Amino acid sequence: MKPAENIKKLIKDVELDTNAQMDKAVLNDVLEALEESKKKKPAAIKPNRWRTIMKSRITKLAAAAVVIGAIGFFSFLGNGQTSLYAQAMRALQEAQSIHVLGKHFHDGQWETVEDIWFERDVGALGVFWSKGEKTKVIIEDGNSRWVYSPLTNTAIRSSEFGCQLIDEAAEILKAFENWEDRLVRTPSGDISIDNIPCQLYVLYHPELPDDRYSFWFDQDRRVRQLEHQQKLNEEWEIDQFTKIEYDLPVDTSIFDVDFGPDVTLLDPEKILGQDFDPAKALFSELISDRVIFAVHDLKKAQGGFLYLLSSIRPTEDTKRGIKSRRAKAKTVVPNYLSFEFLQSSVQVSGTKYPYKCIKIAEIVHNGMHIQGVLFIPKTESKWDVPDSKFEVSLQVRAIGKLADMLVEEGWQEISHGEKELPAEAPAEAPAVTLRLFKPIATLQLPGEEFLLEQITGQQYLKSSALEPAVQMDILILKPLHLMSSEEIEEAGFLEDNSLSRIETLGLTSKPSELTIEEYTDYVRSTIEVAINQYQSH
Amino acid sequence: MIEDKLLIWKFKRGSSDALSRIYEKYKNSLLKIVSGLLNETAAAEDIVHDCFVSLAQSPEKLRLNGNLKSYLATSAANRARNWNSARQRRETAGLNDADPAASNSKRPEQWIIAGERLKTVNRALAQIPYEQREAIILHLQGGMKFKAIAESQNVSINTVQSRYRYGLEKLRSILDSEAEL
Repeated sequence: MKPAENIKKLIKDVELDTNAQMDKAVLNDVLEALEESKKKKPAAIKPNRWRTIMKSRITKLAAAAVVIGAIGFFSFLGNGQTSLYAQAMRALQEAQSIHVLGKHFHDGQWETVEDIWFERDVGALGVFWSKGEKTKVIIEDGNSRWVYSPLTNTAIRSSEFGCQLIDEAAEILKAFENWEDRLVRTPSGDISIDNIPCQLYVLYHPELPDDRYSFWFDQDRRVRQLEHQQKLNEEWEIDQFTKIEYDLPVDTSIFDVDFGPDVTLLDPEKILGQDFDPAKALFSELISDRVIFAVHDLKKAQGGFLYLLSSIRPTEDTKRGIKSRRAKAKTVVPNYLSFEFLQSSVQVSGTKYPYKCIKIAEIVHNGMHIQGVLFIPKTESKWDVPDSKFEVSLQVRAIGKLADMLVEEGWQEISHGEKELPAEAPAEAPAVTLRLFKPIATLQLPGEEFLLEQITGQQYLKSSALEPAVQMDILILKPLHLMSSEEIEEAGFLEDNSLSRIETLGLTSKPSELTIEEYTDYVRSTIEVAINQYQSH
Repeated sequence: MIEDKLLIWKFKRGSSDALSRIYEKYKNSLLKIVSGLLNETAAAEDIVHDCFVSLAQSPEKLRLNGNLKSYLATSAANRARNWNSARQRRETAGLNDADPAASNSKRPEQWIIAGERLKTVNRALAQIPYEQREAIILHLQGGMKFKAIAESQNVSINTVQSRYRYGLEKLRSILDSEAEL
């Protein structure tokens, strides 16, 4: 008999080659898809590295520049001195106003791709273009962010809850932390920018010999200019240019939320607030004075299933507390709260019948986690008895500052390590806490029974109401079934904490691209898979 | 890992070079994963093709600090699972008119050039339950943590670990019996 290790090795070490001709054909399709996606979503992937990395543009952009550029200085300064990185960050944080102008070289000419203004304690405005066309306008006032898309002529509000712009910018540091020794001081490229002498540092990476990044720092350790250059025919050519100005006068009326008379304003939080108000819930429970769990709907569905729509969220006090706290860890992970159902049961005359849960819809938005789930009986359903009750069990998980708060309330901090966070993060990872509630609620089962189509239809319509926000990537409705663990994790960690998602069919992510029938079919197949799974055990 | 971060970074900016590099770097491991899951060459090729096309269509989905290999492996596994469910439905409905082995051999433009060892392993993997197969392949070939596999399958870590353990046992038994023949 082969030892288990040999089996593992056998599986790990199997060899496979591919046919070069097919490779070429497949790669053609892939690259064509990339080009198509650029046309469809110019704002999302135009060749401006900052836009895709950081959503809140202004200070993040400037901070990112500082971060990237300054890392290299660690090796120049050595220990015992204040690093240039720290100086640059401090300079950035102390700037009263910032202006960023980004340009991209396209079809033989320079095109403005972003123009961003920031005034401390007042607001920020970002205007973005692609190939000469305005693609997005963002206005922030510290509490809200409005994103206007000319495509939909809609401006959508999202909250800035949990965001610290500078901290978020530090995310990019992770990508460059190993590049300290790649930054090269290049005196021959020193220039004056707006009559301020600046020193050039060039960032090279051995894996990408045809790319380099140039940073010009002024004497106050501020990044004044960035360039990305590509090597073409052995010559370095600039394809992207960003200029950053500090402490210049700003007309603050530009931060007024006024996109024009015909623009539709949409506030997803308001919609969610109306649909998921704990005060109007079937059941709500304040947990540890910090978070609220609520059940908004409970339905019996034909086929012996139970549909439960529920939510969890931090209290307003908790939100304020989180916002005012500084992160303990170096790694910045915005606050994250989620819950998962454990095996729950229907109680009939003292007997418990176990139910397995499957998600059919999920929204994560601004600290709130909402789930639409179906409970499937693991044994014969007995709910026709009039006094049947449903006992709901779940586990609540929190990460980051919210976890710190809950640990203070007596929750146990659990080991995160490889189980909770990306492999590269554990050394600096934030707190993680988890608590089981068995049960959290015992609910009276309603008498009426619904068709599955009625339940999925209701779920579908709720998503449709939020769809305009999807088109601007403020809300994402996507098939949870197809999400990777990283994506799920990301949804909790995203910059503006305002993602939503719902299970749908295939790769289609928007209700308008999916019929209710297709969604219902998908839910049916998910149920089928779930039943097969537990029956096989 | 730093190379992956860089590739993601460039890819999110629209770099086709970065996407090509990602493709070259991970195509084989994805093909191994899917062919192990489905033991069907044509389907594996299609799924890996679709994975990369989907990636190209949505660069914004990738997270700078995400694990690229795990992301792609999960994407491939999810598609393979859907495909497998569809196959089961077709079989249940009597619609499967093609024998997988036959369809493999008939495909003229075959992409995968599989070694004997791969065929042996995949044959054995095909004999264990799909969930166990998935746990083994994603962990050993995809390099995914049990936690990530559990999330992608919507089950607990304990369940994944059990599937993995039972699957390995069965696999060992199958391979041993093959060796004895």
